[in-house]
Amino acid sequence: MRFIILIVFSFFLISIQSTLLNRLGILEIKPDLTLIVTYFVGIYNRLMIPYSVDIRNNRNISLYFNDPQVSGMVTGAIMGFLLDMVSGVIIGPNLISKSTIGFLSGKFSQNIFKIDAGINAILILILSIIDGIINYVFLNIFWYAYPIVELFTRIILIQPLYNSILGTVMLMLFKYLYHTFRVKERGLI
Amino acid sequence: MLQFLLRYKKVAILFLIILFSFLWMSLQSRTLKNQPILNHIANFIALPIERGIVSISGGIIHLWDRYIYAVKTFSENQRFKEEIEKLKGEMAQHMEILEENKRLRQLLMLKESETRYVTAARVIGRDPTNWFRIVTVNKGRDDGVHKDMVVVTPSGVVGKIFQPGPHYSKVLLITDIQSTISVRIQHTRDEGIVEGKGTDRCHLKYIPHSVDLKINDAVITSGLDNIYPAGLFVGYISKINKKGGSGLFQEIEIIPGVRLNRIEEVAIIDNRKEQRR
Repeated sequence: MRFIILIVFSFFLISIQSTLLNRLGILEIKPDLTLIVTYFVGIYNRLMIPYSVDIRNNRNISLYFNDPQVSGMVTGAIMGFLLDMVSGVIIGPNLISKSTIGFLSGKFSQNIFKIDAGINAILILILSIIDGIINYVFLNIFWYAYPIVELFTRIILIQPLYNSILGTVMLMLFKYLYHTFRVKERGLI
Repeated sequence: MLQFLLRYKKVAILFLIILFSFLWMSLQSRTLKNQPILNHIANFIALPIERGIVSISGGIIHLWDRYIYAVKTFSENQRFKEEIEKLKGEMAQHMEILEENKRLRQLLMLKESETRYVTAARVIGRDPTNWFRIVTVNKGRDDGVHKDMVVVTPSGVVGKIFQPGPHYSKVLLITDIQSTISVRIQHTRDEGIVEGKGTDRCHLKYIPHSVDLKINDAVITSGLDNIYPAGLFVGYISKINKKGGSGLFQEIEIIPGVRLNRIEEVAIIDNRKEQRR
């Protein structure tokens, strides 16, 4: 069931990326929502676990796995695979890059003690650059020789900055919703 | 070995994903074929969601515009406000219809003048990644669309059908890195190849240094590639670098005649119709 929900959610994100995000493009470069969400799943997996246990039946009903690295990796693999499928050119580059991003963000969540907005922005920036490099390398090996100056710099420099800004805004929104949810749950309001 | 794998099982899973993707990509690369079945399945699910998002977002934008308008005129007389709002809404609608009519009339004129015309189509989505310049249109094999048919607007060439589905088709834009068109400079009649840069521009290749070109010279299709019919407008020369080219040829940049990031309606034409005659 968790996979079906994840697949439907991924399709929804990819559809937003194909339609609405075109309006927000800078120099025809749009942010990568699938990367940002994969990062969030990896890095904030531990926050989701308390909400994932069905106490009556004592079983895990989470969308996510207990391990942040596995959660990030599985989410990244599914999102990357579907992104490649919808794109329809070559299947593989996003599957590898997003799985790696999920794995790394899970690893970061275990090793970084405090993750605030600034750290988040830097991490998304670094992971977006890694994502761009992986895509660039595999597309060059298996598909077409991309010009390094024009395309590489746009996708390796502009897109990470854009992802970083959007990721930070999304984080603030999530934090606000999370905080409101927790306060309501405790019966404080 | 087993103990080692169990100890590093997460790394092993990632390694397996990479290995699997690597093998699959090498297979796709060797056959130079993408995965049309998987792509059709993905688009079968994604396209209705995309259509829904487009129609809902259109409604929200319309509502937002109305809201902004209402806020601006808050201090005005209520009757005037309602009247103006109503008139402005109607006018915006009429303008939209007028603009659409203009575009469709141009497409209709193209249909009447173009013997190779197959169908008109609407752009419903773009590639979700930033690596490919591909758009999705709402006509497919059921409407008579096939691979390598040419996509145009009254302003010039848009691209070619790259992957036709049953009710949709993927169009490879002329700015995509994989796109090549055989072209001719209109006033000098010199031939070259236009290649996409992956941005909003194209390269014009294989024009010798001896050819005297000017900025804004028009570039048209030559028809020698057997895909694009001769005489279609491709774009204008925007930059000439005689020193920067590789060896024998000049380095030339082209701005496409069509604003590819703003296209809404296109016409699909079949070059083979003329070749069969």
